[in-house]
Amino acid sequence: MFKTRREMLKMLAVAPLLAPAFRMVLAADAAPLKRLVIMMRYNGAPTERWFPNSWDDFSGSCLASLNDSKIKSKLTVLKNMSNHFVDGNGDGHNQGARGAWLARTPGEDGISLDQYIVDKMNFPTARKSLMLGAYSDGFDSITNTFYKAPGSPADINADPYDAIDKVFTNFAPQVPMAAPNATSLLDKKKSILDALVNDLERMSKNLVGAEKNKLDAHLALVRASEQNLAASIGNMTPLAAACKKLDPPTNREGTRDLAKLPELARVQMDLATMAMACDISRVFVIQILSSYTNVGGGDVDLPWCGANIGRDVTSGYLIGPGNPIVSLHQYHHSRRADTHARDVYANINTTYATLFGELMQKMDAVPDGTGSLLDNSIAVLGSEYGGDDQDGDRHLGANMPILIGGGGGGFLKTNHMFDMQGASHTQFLGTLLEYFGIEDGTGDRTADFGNRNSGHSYASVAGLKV
Amino acid sequence: MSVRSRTWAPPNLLIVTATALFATACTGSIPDPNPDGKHINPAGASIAGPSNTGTPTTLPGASPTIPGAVASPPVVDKNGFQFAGDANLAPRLRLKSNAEIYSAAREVFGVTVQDKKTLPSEAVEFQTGFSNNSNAHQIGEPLFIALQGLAANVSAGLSDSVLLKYCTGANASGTNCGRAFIANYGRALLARDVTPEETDMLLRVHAVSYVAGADRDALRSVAEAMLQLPSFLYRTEAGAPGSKNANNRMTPFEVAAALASFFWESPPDAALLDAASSGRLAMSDGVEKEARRLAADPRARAALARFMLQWLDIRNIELQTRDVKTFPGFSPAVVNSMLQETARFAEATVFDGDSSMKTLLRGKTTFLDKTLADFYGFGQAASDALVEVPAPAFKAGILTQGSFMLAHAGDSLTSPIKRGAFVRRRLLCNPILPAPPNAPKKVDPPSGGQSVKDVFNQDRTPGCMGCHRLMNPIGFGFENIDAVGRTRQTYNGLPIDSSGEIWTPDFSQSLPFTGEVGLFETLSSMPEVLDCFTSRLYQFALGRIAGKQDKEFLDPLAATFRSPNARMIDLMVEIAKSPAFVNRNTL
Repeated sequence: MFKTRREMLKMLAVAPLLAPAFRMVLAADAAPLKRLVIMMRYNGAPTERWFPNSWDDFSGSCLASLNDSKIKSKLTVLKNMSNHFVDGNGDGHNQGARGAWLARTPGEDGISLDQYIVDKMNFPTARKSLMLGAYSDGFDSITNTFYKAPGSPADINADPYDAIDKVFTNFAPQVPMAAPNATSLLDKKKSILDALVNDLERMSKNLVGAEKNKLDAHLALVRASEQNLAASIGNMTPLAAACKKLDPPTNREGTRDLAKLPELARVQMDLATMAMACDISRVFVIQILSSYTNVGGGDVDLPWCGANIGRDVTSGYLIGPGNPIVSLHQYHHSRRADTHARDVYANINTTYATLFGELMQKMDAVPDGTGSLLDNSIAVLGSEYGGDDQDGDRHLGANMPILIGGGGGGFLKTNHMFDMQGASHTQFLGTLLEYFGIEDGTGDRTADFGNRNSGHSYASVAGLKV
Repeated sequence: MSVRSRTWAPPNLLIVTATALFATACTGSIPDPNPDGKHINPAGASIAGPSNTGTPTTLPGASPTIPGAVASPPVVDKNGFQFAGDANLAPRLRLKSNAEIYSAAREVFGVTVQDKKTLPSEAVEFQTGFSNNSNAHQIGEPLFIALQGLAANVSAGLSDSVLLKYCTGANASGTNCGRAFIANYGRALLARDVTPEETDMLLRVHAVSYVAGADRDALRSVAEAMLQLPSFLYRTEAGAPGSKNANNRMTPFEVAAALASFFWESPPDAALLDAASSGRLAMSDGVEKEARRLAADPRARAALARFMLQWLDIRNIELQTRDVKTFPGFSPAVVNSMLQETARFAEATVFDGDSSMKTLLRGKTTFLDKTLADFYGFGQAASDALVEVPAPAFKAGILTQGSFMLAHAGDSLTSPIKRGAFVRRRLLCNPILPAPPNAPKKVDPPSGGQSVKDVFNQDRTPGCMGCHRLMNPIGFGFENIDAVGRTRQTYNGLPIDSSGEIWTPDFSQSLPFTGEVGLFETLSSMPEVLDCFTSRLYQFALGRIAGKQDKEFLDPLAATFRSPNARMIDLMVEIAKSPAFVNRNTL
């Protein structure tokens, strides 16, 4: 929602195209589209097990399943990068969550990088961004990571079936309509939008101030829909032959079943890939679990990581000695002294790496221009902080376990492990901004992103770029 | 101990000053926020307050005094409405709730939207928990797109009997048919007569889709447009434009729509629109008559249930999970039955019973089906039908029901904090800040020999109890009920001590109680609880937060609801007659 009339007018001037039913797609020979995919995990990774010893050999690490994968050459491992917002003194959960994508300190509001890019780029897509999740509930003001506006967390849809419904219910772009039908349908939609404008203008006369602004905001949405309609007429070349309406699975159970986490994530990954193929959106977040992921009472077997919530007993920070574990988070806090907890923690991260690899393969399977969706996009497996087994009771900023997929259409180098030499992750964020043509930390254009007062550099990292 | 006279103040006036007070007490860096045993009351006067050392002093046998004097007699105008004085009654725009939009599709077009997630959930206003707040619930891209889809789907699903209902005789086809469709369905959807300009506007939609002999497609296009029209999606509360009057009445049609929204969350029916067009809603007694008619309709019951869900913060209860080993028999079916129990109890209390706060908080019966009777372990119910059964010991009223207990508890432990905080925020209109960032996220279960009180009375972090003594001792009163709403006598091998205390919102007195019965006995006789409910129902009706300017409207309503034998149903009617509900300063 628009906070001010000015913001509303700004949107009016550069309104994105809405109405998914009429989103037509670009010609195949157009310049590659820029896309960002963030798969967000929480609680870092065990440093000793996450990072492979060398690029040639992933064995023994959480990334082992990617070693022989076809997409390995399209990946990059970032080593030795820190979330400097996590300083070891305050609440690491809060510092990590604030620092990761907001580049802010606890208590300081801001907008996360994904939504910042959305705002700056004004993509002509049906959805500004797709914010998806798998069992990613339980966020609060401490752990929320993605913000659409200062103080307003982004709406994450953690029900993949519902998300498919929402995205695809009104979607039918890939079959070019026969001209007469298309024309009459477009004319009809246009006449309806005309009526809405007419009605809004009449209503506005009887209101002032904030109440009138509500109608102005409504009008901006109608105008955006009109622009989309206008743009639809004429260009009907399918972008990707793979684009087709995604039908949600009929079996919709298990969205509340933590044991099915990988399956839930895969449905969201399929949705994101298809939405990319159909150019429904260009910014995607898939949030896996949450910082806490509290499961409550006990005896929940999680075969995908070897945990047994309720039967596993341990002790650690905020866990009394010999108490049953009630949340995945507690494995993290228990891993210094408890080898089983340490294994579970590593297994969780192995699952993340495997899922991310699967997403990369799905994207790589869809042709896009002269390459694939993966070639032309940048995907990030993120984390809000780092971690190691030696100091396992705490959340620390060093050694963020970041994995990158895709080269952004020749923007990033791939197929290597890059040592960031302790640099702040804000430089990585700056690199992503540069990919979108939003300048890195030298000019005014990013003055409204992140914390600019605490010495973090937003300059892009030369060694990452081609 | 000096006691401040306990006159009523609009609860929201406490926010700014009290928030500052709590913020000081809750930031955790100050070991004793109240070193000299005094609180600064919201008005700024120093008063005696709870002492941090030893047992808080209580006033022996003090039953809260109900102030005799309220406002001077209100000025009543010739139509029977109170004069609104200089209050800010600016014209307002109310985006309809999802329930109102679904209900319009059903009532007007006979199309039931099965998937209640078709439209994205309304934003909830934190302080009240209401989703109809007109500042929180506004149009955005997701809603706009969802409404386009809903309009397309509903119009595509219209049956011939609906489409062609008014296309008879001279209006059998063509533009005349479109005009008849617009006039009749437009009146029902817009809750007023369609203007000539609007008719022309919709006829243009009709014309674009019209092919001779094929009326249906054109009518569907018109319906699709009507369901997205801002004139339908919003209710205005603006009065007649151009009259430029302060304290003017809203138009009778606006009053009709407001009444239907408040009592039914639906568009007005034909009788209510007739009452508007005949001028009856211009008179206070006409509003009362229609309000009472609406309250007697079944639609009012469903709307009341939705209010209760929001007020009690139990709307997302189906997301609650519990371990079935700790709570055998717990299942989604149980949760569903719990929601029905609460809705039915609220209906029975408000519409069929004495409609009192006392019964809502202390009712001696409840409504169970077989699923719930088996789960709770009391009451006889043979089937899925709800039957009224006597409530057993420890069960007294709506806040002891499973739905509330489930929503305000931990996964396996009860939560005196959540339960106490709810009472503070929602029953006493007493702002309690969210826990500070450094507060522990989880409470360890009691270890051997520890009672719940031992756990929740621990001063875990310096400064916690500054706020928590306002919550936890209230929450202890619920301890005979577990995290899924079943009664219990012991926990962790120890007998349960469910005694506690309630600090009055002005911190002048601590009211001791024992157990649920004592807790609700005390709460239901506190004038602050009655005033708070008045204020919350008022804010729900108006779709906005009450502020300083509302005191003149709330005072008489609160006085009414404080009187002996006051009824909630009457309070709803009085709110509907209030100048705040029916008057606006027109442009």
